[in-house]
Amino acid sequence: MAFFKGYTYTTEQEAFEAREQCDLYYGIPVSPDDITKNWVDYEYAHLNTPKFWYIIYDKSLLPILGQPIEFEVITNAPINE
Amino acid sequence: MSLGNSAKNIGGFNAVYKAKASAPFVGILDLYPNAKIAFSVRKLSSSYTGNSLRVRRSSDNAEQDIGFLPNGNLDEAALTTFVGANNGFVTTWYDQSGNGNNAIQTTAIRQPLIVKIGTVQKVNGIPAVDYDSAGLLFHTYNFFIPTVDMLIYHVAERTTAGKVYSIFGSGNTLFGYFSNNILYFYGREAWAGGFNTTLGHTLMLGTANPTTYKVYQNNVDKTVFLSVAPYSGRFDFVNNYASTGQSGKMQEGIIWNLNRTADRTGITDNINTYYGIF
Repeated sequence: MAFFKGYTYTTEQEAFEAREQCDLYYGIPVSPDDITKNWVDYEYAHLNTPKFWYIIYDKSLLPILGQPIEFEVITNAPINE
Repeated sequence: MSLGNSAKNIGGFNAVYKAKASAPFVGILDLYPNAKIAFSVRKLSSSYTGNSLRVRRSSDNAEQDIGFLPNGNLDEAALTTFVGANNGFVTTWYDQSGNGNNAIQTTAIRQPLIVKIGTVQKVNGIPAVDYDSAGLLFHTYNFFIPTVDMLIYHVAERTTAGKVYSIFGSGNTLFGYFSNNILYFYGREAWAGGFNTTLGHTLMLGTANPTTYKVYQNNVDKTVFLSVAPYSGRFDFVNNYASTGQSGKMQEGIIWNLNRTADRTGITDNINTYYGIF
């Protein structure tokens, strides 16, 4: 279990659109040949019930996505821990 | 004729030749070739003609490759000219092994820092890729270690204990600290002192062959254990779990997936001569 601050979405389409908003805001990618394809990316909380998609908070996201919330994500325990 | 500093009579006067000034570049991979993966802020091989890093600048998000000077150092002037008084983030760390395993990060806010407000990030005067700024995954390989023969090392500055400092790792760390402060090699505890919270600039080096496995910190044997089997599984170039984050700055990391145990001293000397770690 991990606790995060960020943004949650019930469908992948919503997360995709949030990511696109950030890309548009920051003008990413500048060129099709650039390595940088997105400003931020979303992740899938596939072990949670119900499942959801989320973006982890970064201060650069505030003007686009607004105030973040706190949430829990169930994760596989790393083997070393 | 000597290739060292020498005096030679030409046209009635002595001319001093400094062979060092025109000596051909020799990198660590010229001396110890056939690496599987090789990343560095210095040039590692005379036959490598590519760049060190690809950098995104914060002012307009444009990207540019940054190469080396003839002496093998990172071209810092090109870097600061491109980035200006802004921040520069690494989008690509080019693999100098010739195997094309470039480490990339396509998401802007996960890219590590190389220039901060116009200043190149450094450790001991040498440029360093700073993971503390983003603290996140840099690259993942579907890369498997088919045998136990290996020499692996990284030159880095660990800045925070209790965070991941696993330059080559995954859920089962190939080589590096995990967030529990235990050093792992081949996914097994490898640190004689148990937990290690030592910070600072270090050369962490591991050797493995079918009979002997060793872990060294700054050329001091720190080995405990071992029973090592071929490492199977994905690993990340710079490990990360979102809940822990990466800690520190990195300058160089190489894996040879062959037995270089006998070369450990020479490799260590080469690294320490350049980075001045211990």
